[in-house]
Amino acid sequence: MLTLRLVYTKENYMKFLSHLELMKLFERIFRFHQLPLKYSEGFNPIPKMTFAAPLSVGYSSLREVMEVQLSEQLPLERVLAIQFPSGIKIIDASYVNTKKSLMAHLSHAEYLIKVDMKKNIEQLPLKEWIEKFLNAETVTIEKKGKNGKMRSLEILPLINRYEIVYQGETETIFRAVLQSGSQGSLNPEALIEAFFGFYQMAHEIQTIQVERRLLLFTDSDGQLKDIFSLKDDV
Amino acid sequence: MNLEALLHQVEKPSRYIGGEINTFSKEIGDDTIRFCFAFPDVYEVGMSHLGMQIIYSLLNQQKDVFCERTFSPWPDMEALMRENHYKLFSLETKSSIGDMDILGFTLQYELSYTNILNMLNLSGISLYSKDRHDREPLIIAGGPCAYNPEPIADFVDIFFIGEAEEVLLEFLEVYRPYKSGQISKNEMLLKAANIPGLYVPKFYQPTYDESGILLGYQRTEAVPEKISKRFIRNFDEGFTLETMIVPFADIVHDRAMIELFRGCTKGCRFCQAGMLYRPIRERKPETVINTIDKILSSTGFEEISLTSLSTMDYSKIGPLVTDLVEKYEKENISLSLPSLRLDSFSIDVVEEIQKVKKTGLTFAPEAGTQRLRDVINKGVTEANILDTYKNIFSLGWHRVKLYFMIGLPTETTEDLDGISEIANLGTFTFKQVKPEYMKKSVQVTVSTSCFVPKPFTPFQWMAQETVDGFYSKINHLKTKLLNKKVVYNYHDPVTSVLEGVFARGDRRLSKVIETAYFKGCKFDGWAEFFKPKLWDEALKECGIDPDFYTSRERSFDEFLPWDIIDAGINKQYLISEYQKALNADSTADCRDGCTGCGLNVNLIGGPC
Repeated sequence: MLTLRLVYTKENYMKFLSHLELMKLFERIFRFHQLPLKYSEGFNPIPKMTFAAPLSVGYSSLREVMEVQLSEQLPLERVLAIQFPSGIKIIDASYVNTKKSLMAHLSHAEYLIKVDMKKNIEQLPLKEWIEKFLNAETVTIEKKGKNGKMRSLEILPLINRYEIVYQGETETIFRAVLQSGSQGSLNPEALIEAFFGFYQMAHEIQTIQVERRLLLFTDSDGQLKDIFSLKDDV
Repeated sequence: MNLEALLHQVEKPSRYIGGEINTFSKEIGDDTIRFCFAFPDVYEVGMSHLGMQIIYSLLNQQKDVFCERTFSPWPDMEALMRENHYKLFSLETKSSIGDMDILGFTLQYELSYTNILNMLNLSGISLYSKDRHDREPLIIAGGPCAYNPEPIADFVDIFFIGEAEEVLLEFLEVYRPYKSGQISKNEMLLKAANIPGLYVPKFYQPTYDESGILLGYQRTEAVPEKISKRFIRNFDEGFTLETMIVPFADIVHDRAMIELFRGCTKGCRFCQAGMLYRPIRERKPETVINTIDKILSSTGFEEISLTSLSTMDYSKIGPLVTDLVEKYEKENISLSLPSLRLDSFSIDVVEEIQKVKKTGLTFAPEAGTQRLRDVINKGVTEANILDTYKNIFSLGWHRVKLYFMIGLPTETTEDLDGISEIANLGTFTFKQVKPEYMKKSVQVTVSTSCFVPKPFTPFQWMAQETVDGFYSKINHLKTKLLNKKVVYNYHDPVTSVLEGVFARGDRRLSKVIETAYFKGCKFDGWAEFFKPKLWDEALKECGIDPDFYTSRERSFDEFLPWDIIDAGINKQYLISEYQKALNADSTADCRDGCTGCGLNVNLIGGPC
């Protein structure tokens, strides 16, 4: 059995596809490009595919990672030539020989977050605000738990990096590296709401647009690395 | 606000984004005819419709035509669009619908009429044909409800009667000189009205007597007296859909579809489709197999549906299914058959396609007694039903769904009781024949729909059951269907009676639809949006008594609103079928000998 690992984008209108819709799309495109797919056993055989991390509807992404099991090797040029609807593009592919699961090893994700405020915030000292925010004793948000009940979540330990990259009249762009995966995740919109909430300005947020830039795992030295490079020996 | 900003705020935004596999994008030049196919319901319903796929593919094969699509936005999206003054748009280029040359609606069910008005309104297009200026799109419509176009005749410029594949292309021939400014809109419409199959209502003015009964239509220009339906004579060699748009969203029928044949020879008297789509025309098995290959290799679908009005009646269904199963089993592509007959042959075929998986089976006895099944000419016997039960339950099925209609002509309490007897026969037979390994218990689901008499059927003159009458029948069934292994579902009578108003309505209903629409009616086919009170108000304000259209029995010599359409079937044949129905006399399948409906003489000029 062969594992084909792919990196793809999800941009423009395609960001509005739900995770289920995206999986169906991959399945169908692989099918009509006659990839030698491996199927699950049972009454409803489905191709064996795994996605590193579902992306929320409305978020775009420059670098999503998924794996599909094949029964025989297909040249990578052929894989890279597979056409998806405009907005989705395969940008890298490789065969991997690892039992490590993308989902289990994912630890962080990097985001660009574009925030549009209802009023002009050009003069606000956002850089200092971020520093003060990150150094606060505690910042908690209310999050729905698995049992459906609201619980409070301490978010500062989940933030690996948080910085401002652009500050305009009403528009600000932040970059953030946030914990993501099975050990707990922080959603970038929740971060922005908590941040502006910290300064009593959450109600001034007009819209938040999110782009995922990278999916990361933590290697044996504690370094964050692109999950596409996940192998048995790292 | 731009479209993306709206999409961030709605449920299921993928309904509005377009760009699915096998959609078209074309350069738009001065002479490009911009056509938008409009389905007056939500994306998931519209995209399941084979006719849309056919027309989309056919039109986009024309060099100078660009066919796009639009659907009814779901109410959450509509509210945002209105709030932000965002007009209805096409999925392909996100163009405002008002920029199209032609907007083509499909009329699949009567309760979608308010959605048509809503789509025009959301596009900023005048509702009434007479109010639209030359810069607004031409509004055309086709589909089964076009066989009685009158209730929406004031809104539509041209109706396409029957199968559209050929006549759409003929119509484009008269549209091109209009597009290039050589002829006026009126000249174009007049030329169109003289193409067989096209009905331009503005050239036909209805006249009524003082009691409101239609007397006939006065022609205001040199146009044909009757509009004859169109059908593809050589279906096997005619336009064949060889690729399909592959939707993102989880639509109702998400699979490859291939039409095995058009038409039906069974002659069920309640069935409008059976009368409208005559004659029967099959595709050759080779054509079917080649076409499926082409569709699958361009779509990646994992299921194939063999469609028709009665798939088990395809003359080579057995060998075809065997071939297809053998060919596609390895690729994990499954086969589905939309309609099953109650006989052992059908069971053999089903067993073939469901070797492992035993999903539920659905059958339609339609009526509870032999007598009533003879009235409606549904050729199913008690022995067929019992044999079917024995077959399926002994093979390991344990769930079965049964469809019936209530409110059929001559129906009595005995016929209703028969429904419960058929259901009980199922649970009883299960216990007798179930295999030893079967540990699950049996479930028989009975669904009843409320019969709506339709134009061009032998029941087109009869009175429809009233809402109260339907309810008392439903309540009677509830007291009879007490068996714990039987589940009873029923369709709401109020919507069926409103459907009945439009099914046999005349042009005076255009005003009622407009009034109801402005009161807030839309998505009337969806229980959660249906507002019967507003419809009552609209009917009253327009001075229209709905009973006139539903519970009034017409005389055979009354001029009916759809008598302007020639569906190829003689009125005399329908009358004789109606009289036979009342005597519970059945009529044989016309494959076994012509039953004289007149189609061969009227439209074919030879044998079917």
